[in-house]
Amino acid sequence: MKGELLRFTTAGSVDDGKSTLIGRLLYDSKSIFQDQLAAIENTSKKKGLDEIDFSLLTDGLKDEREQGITIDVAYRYFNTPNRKFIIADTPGHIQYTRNMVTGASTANAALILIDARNGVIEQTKRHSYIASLLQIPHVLVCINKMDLVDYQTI
Amino acid sequence: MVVGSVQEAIDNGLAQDEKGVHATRNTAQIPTLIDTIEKNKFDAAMGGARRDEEKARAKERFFSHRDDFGQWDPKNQRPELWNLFNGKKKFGEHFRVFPISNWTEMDIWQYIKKEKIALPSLYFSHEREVIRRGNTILANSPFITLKPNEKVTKEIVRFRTIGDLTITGAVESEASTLDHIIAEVAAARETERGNRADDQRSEAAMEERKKEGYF
Ligand SMILES: Nc1nc2c(ncn2[C@@H]2O[C@H](COP(=O)(O)OP(=O)(O)OP(=O)(O)O)[C@@H](O)[C@H]2O)c(=O)[nH]1
Ligand SMILES: [Mg+2]
Repeated sequence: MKGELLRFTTAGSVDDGKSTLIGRLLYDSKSIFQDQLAAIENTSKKKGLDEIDFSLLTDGLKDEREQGITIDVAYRYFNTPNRKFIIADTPGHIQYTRNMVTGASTANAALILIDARNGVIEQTKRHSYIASLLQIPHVLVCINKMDLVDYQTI
Repeated sequence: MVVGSVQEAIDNGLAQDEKGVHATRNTAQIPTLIDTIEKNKFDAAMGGARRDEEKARAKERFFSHRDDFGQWDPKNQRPELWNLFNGKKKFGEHFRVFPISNWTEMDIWQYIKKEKIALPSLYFSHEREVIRRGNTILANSPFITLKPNEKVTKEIVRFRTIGDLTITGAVESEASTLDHIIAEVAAARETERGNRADDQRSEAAMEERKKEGYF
């Protein structure tokens, strides 16, 4: 495969939607295999959800699925015709900050998610500081859950 | 060379053979491996497992700690920054080391092609006696028990992944050269291990086995 490798990590507070964003990104770029999709569809149904829970794609541990949070960093791989990507989906929970640092240490870019309802909170700041400490060259801020504030700008 | 043998482990009562149509020696590898590591006082065991293979393997460190019982605690893994590996351990503990953790199935095939590495013929398309069970195509062998409605047919297949004969599904494939396989992998719609019955036993089948000491 030609093209450079881009390694990026997710960051931001717990539940801001990091894993869901990665799952959705892989889904939209058709990087999910049929059996993987069938498996997470099945698990979503068992949880009583009407839609696919895309966070299940990276939240692969039993405890993560039971608790609905990311505990440890998961790595995912995909490519476009021009580039290869390694994604590190990291946990937002303060207790697992060391796992976020693990994933972020090898990243060239960080996506910092912010829940539109909560704005910048403690973990958002902590993760942003870690991204700066690690000298991650590119940082992108993503405002998520805009649907929950009726897409208003304040 | 040190060889840990599943057959010997079974003969010594360390591991048990499973019974029934779905019997496999896959899990018998666990006590065999742990016993071999313990007896030889190995500090580390290197493996070719990759994060892209499976959702629990996606969580692995390069240098992955195992406790005195050979167990993995995925909820409590050590930080691993950049390419600095933490080899500190207590007596009786060991590491599993995964140097090609970040390689994908495609990387493997391209590397094999680049370095002209010879491969077992099982990876290339061939005619074989098979049994269709659920969504998987299992190789016929003396180690498999047929269900009453199952019959043996001949098909053109290859193996994308190779584990025990009793649990590794083949894929229908005409790919008989490396270029052909690379094209097939690029267009694949199913995962590499999708045909592994050992991963299908439950939603967390791989995680459960890894916690116990599976590679
Ligand atoms: N309404 C709404 N819900 C969202 C959106 N994005 C994610 N969610 C939901 O928010 C919850 C948390 O999502 P996750 O993706 O698990 O959040 P996370 O940031 O990965 O959480 P941790 O990894 O535990 O820090 C889930 O119930 C998602 O379905 C969004 O854009 N809108
Ligand atoms: Mg998450």
